[in-house]
Amino acid sequence: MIEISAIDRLSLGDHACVVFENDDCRNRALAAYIRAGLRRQHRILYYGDGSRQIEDALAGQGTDPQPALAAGQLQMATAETTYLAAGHFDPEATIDGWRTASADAMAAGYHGLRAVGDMSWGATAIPGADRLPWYEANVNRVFADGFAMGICLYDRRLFSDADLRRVCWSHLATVESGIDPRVVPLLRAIRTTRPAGIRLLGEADLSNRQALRAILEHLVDDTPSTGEPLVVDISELQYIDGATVRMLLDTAARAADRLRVVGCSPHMQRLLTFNGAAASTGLIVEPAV
Amino acid sequence: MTVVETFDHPGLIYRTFDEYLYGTTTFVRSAVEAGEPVLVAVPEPNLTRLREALSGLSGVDFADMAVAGRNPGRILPGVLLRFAAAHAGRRVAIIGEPIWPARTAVEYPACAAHEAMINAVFQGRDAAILCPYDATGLELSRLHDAWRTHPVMIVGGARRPSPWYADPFAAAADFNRPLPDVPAYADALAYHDVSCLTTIRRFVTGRATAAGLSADRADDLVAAVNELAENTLVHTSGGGAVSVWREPGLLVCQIDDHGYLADPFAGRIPPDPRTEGGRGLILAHQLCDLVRIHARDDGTSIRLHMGG
Repeated sequence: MIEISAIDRLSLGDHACVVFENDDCRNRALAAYIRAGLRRQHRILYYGDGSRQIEDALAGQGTDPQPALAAGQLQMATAETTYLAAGHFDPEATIDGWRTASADAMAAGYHGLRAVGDMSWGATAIPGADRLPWYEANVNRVFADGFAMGICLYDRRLFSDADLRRVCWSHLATVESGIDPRVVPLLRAIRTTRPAGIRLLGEADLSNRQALRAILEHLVDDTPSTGEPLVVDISELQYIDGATVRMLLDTAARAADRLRVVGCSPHMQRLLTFNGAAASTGLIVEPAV
Repeated sequence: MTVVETFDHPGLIYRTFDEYLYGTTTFVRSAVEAGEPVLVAVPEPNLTRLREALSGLSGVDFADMAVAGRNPGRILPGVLLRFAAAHAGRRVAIIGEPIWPARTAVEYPACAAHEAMINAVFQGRDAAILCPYDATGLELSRLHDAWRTHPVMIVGGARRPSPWYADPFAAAADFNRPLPDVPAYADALAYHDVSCLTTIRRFVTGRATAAGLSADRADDLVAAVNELAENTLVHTSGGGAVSVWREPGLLVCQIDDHGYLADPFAGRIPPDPRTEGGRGLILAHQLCDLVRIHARDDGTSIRLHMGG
């Protein structure tokens, strides 16, 4: 069973893979996520089946969804009638769709956008379903803007362990049965504007590597150039593994105006040095204060 | 076609410090005269005395082997290959003394395997590595091993081929010895998927802190364990277990899994910077005071030592 307190720890900017074991577990987690969004003046977009059951679960937790549905704050539709309507999955178009939805929610005065997708269709033969891990990794780039957040619901009964592993690694955080709520979300990546760059919080390891890789590989493209070095702030990163350090070095090699990695503990500096930071002309390493 | 043997790896058996001084300074002076960069990596007190004896020479670097090579597994990537890479295209001369009397029974097989693998790693490279052995302080069996891991020996000032020199891989395999049992009082944690990595890190951090390791040393140990556990998850179909316990003056951590570590070069050669993978063990060697590996057909055990 998924701890609801784990779902409640998610906030704007997060992108979590929620693996559920049964429908009751799914509906409870969803209702908690939606209720938190209603409280915070977020727009909530749900794409998936079983909207009636979700409404019932909300009512069961003491929330009448009808006013929010009528106001357009809560919108529910199936994937098949929306982003899969053309009969195939187009990850680029779907990511663009989230950007548009974020802008719309902001224009409508909401404080944020909560996206929810039931990804059960990913276990079917829909053309393009093989690009689901790529999509999940790259949609992090939208959430990193900090106005939107997303949870993706994966039914453990439908996916093989190997397929689940691939999609989980493409999320910054995973919420599953038995997880300690204190480690949710394991990693957060939030863009900064002054200075331009990104702030990493939590723990970067194999479990979220593909998600962070997509963010860092495109950090230069996704950040408007200011003529100043890009900044990756890792002062609130409790753990960074060797592969992530090498991703930072790769990012530095792509940054036209260099890359500043700020907030490095002595251990992190040793990891950077071990991986060849001294030879990277595009990298500026700044110790934690 | 004539194959020129460019790599020279003599063992120097010394009984007195004069013998040590004669053997090592002769080696250094002839290298300096030939214009070769020289590295002297030996433990104290030999380091200070050798530094004094060679004080007039330029082009000689010094390193304390008890620090740089405290973990024998990092001598190849972190000392020898690093020095060779810093002088790429030139013949290098190195004095490497990785084995001294205070090396413990747990450390020693890693030291001897290192000596054997030098022959394989440096085969065909333009280098000379002289390894002094203290004949009065070292156990006889360790001197016997030196004859198996060095193609040439210098005894009483005379240089001669070792009749007992063994194939490097066979010799290294011979030092692939079982580890002492994990004590019953050790704390253990089983792991099976990526979500366990954060739990492992918390577990090791907690034990390291309780054992009095500094935050910095604890971070290093946690990083080493994380990389090795990741190797289990990526390269084997099953999970593994991490055990942690204290021994006098150090914290010991062991990672056991069902993988088979087939590559005798694993952890000994820095990987190509353009490829991912093969770095976990190298990092563990760099960060820890000892990395002992016991590779079996049905599993691998890696033991890490971390002093305070």
